[in-house]
Amino acid sequence: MSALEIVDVGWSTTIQDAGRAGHAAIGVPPSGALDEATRDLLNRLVGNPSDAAVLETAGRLRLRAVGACTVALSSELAPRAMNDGEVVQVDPATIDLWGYVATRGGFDVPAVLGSRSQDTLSGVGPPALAAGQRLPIGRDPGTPVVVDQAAGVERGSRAVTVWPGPRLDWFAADAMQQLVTTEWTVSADVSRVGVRLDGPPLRRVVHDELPSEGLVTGAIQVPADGRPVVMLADHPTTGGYPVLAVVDPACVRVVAQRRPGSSLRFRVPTLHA
Amino acid sequence: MTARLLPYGPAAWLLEVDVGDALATATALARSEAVNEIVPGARTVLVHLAPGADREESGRRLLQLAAAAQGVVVDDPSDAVEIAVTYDGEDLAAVAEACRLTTAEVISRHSEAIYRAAFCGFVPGFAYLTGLDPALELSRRASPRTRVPAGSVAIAAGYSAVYPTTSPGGWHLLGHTDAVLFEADRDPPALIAPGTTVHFVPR
Repeated sequence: MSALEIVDVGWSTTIQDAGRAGHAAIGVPPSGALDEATRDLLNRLVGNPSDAAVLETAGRLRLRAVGACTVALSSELAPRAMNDGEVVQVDPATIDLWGYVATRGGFDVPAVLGSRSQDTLSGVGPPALAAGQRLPIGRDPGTPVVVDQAAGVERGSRAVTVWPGPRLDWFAADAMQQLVTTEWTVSADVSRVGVRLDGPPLRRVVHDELPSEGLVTGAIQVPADGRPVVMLADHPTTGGYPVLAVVDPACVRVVAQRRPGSSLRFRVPTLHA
Repeated sequence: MTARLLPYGPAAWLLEVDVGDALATATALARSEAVNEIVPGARTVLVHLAPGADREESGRRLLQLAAAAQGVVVDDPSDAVEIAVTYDGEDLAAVAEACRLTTAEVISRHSEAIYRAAFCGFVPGFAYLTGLDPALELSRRASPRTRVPAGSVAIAAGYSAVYPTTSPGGWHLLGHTDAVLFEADRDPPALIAPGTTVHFVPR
């Protein structure tokens, strides 16, 4: 069976698939690829089901083919045949934070609670990756590769859609207005758990500790310092800070892919009659 | 007071209910077809809607179900879990002093109460247990520890809990157990889930 061997593990590299939603009541985060659209596209490029396990990295991941295999990188968006011994480096695309590599057959590590995703918050899923490790490639899906180059996914230069609530009444009356009129800066505090934004602090009018309540991916949590944090796939399942608004699920990947220092704008959805 | 429905993005609702009603509400809602996943909180229930469920219609239905669940006590002692505890925690003496009790009294008050898991969070298998003796109510430690060993039995903010994994933590440590709180490959993975009745047994 072919495999991909890790030569250099790179930055924040994990295996991710569609995640393990459904276990939040016992405290298990959903996990899964931060940029689902790119995961789906790369899997299609190698003929996999769209939710097959891929590698996600913030860069400098190097892989060596053990036996022949076919991969697709998010920086190339085309299938690439690798011969035994060939080495490839995986980096994010030019303006993205996270890069991906899919391989025909998927990465066949054991699933935990129905998913091969590594949860960086609690460690559920496959153990952390290390140089020298061989990641087995699963069985050839048998399906033809029907797309051999792709235009890539929407880069999302437009403002990110947010839905007001649930805790509007914990904030100053103009907080929602401030959220959508501010040009936020993505801070250096970014991870698979969340993205902290810099800008004028959002003012809270209730300063109590919020009794812990469920969190969704995309929730914009506002701690006491007023700096919003957008929750991503490895977010804790409950939290004690009020949520001002929720990033639309289709836009969460846009937030996750923004590099520290780049700007981010929000808008409320346009309602259709 | 009735339940309050709060918007939580395009595919979820947050139901705010009276203290003590969250668990019964969660149980009632779990049976609804419009519901994909339920996450109980201290006094809320997060409801992820099923794909294709009508948002407004689902919201109305959830409110009806929640109203019917008000005041209902979920009591299923058949699933009670006994946790054997060695009361040798680092904070036992400090807790006794802060609560104006002897350490023996802290142990008896902690182990004689019957607990129920209200909700989970923090890490997989970490359950917030209600039923703590009011004499043991303390806020979290002023300075959290960077490392609390797995199996630590602790109290804070009116709850008791067992740390499933070694992690940072700000609760007061009363003792430890050898029980394995969370194991992903076990069915069910969590020893204590929302609704589970828990007894602490000194050893």
